Amino acid sequence: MGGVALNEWTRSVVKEDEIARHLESGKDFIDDALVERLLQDNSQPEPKQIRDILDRSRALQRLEPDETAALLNVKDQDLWQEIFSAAREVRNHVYGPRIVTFAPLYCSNLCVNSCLYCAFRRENSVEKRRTLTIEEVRKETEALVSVGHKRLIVVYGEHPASDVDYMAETIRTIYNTKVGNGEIRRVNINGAPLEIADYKILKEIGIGTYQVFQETYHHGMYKKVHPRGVKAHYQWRLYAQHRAQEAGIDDVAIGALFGLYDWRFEVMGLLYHTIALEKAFDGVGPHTISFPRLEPAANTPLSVNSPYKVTDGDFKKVIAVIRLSVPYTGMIVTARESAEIRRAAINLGCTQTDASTRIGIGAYSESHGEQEAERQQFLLGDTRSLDELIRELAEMGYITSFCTADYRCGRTGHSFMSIAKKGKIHNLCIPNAILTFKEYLLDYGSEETRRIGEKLIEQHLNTVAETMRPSVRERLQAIEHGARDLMF
Amino acid sequence: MERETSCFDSWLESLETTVRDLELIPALGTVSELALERYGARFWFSQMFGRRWSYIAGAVGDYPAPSSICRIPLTKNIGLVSDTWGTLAEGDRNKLVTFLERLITFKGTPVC
Repeated sequence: MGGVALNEWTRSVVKEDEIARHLESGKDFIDDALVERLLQDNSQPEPKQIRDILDRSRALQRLEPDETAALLNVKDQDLWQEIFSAAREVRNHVYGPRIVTFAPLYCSNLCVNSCLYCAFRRENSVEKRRTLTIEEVRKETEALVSVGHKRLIVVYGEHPASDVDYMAETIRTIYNTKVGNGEIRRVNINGAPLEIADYKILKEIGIGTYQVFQETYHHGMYKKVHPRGVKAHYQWRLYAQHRAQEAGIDDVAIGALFGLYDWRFEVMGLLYHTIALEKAFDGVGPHTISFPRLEPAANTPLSVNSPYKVTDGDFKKVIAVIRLSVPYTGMIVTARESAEIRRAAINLGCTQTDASTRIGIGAYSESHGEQEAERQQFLLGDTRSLDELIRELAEMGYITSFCTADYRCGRTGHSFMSIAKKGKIHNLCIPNAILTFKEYLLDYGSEETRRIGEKLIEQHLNTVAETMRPSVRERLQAIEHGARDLMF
Repeated sequence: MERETSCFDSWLESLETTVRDLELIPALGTVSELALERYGARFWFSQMFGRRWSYIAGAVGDYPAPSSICRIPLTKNIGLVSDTWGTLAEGDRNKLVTFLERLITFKGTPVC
């Protein structure tokens, strides 16, 4: 597609009427001045106020913006230790000692946008552009299934070559690919904001979660780092999850790219986004929240020079405060981060992570080196295999879960949230995590991981209610005898 | 057994009257609620999109039941999920499925 046709396509994407109905007096739900004021007004929180807020989180209450602003302004290091401790407590209370694992699958890096922090931006001439063919998607899926993955997040650039029809075809291909006992049971999407009609097409195929990151919630900075392309439209992106919900996709995910603007502001933005979704959709907020940090990218100076880059110390604060602000929502830390930071993030509140990650286009099935900047959106911090990650998590006491039972059993949207908000989702998560972990150990686990994993299963069986234990044991035996995909 | 079957038939008849004037979603919610109350059978309803079963109505358990989870397509688009399906006798389960299939066909597919 030539430049003129591409520009025409870009202009045709945004549907103003699908935004306007959500605005109040023409304004969206992020009031920059209000956020700045709340951060200023709560800049000297008292320890008692902070401890009262922590108690509200422990009671699984979603925090109000002034409470989150107070947490973000704590300066006392001892008080931060109390905050970290409360975050761990909330995470373990709601989700238990399990972590859901997935792999990203990048299908294309053609993009009409000009995001100053991204190697996929239209003007970046050093990036090697490619859109996977359907056969290549099948090969990538086979490679991922062969190491044990059951859940994918599929990533697409915003471009007519990877429009909704391409997305639909790739997802059908992924769902239909089988290798031995293995298959992908849940496909989530990280894609561009779509119009409602397009979301409906994806809904019909049976996607898991639709994820869109706002990148930065600050209007001024958003405009600065998105100078052209569809993505320059802040509100089209901000209401992407609203439109997905309107189309009937009841599991949506939000995120911000930390390092573009002040991290405290972005945490507030994520909270306001959660509140807006909960208000509009009968209490159903985001299924997961992501908070990737800006990482170096090929020929992309801002990715290295941004004045707002978040230190490791502040990043831990980001994770803890999000955990406490929205106690019941899943949180994702990815392989952008180093192994050390991922360990800390999981202990502080994260419930999902990726493994064996390659983000080059075609990098799973082709013999690429581990990292090739010109094929990637950014550089990864952790490229360990799935087996290595699982073994480390097991040594930390976490069961790796490949569970996809909820979205295949109607525990989605409102029904999922109603269980999660009561802090009871671990009742279902832990038995299902044990079953899917057992499958992994038998089908894909190395000898060492199997040894550690079997021991961990025994430990965690003791945390399952006594009435349920015989049923879990019965299913574990069935899995040993060849049964697969059992669930509660 | 005969007496129980007869009771179930009567319950289904009364159920039919109860949900007659309701739209599909509240009707399914009512069936789920009353079956749980009367028989301890917990089930809920979903729209089926490939692998995804999206919740539409009924009482979802927040605690796993020892029995296997059971998924039954009722029509092309709507399915029933239960974690206590075995609570009902086999004959009653079949009658309930037939009742639900008719109910959904009569009231039509929900629109999101």
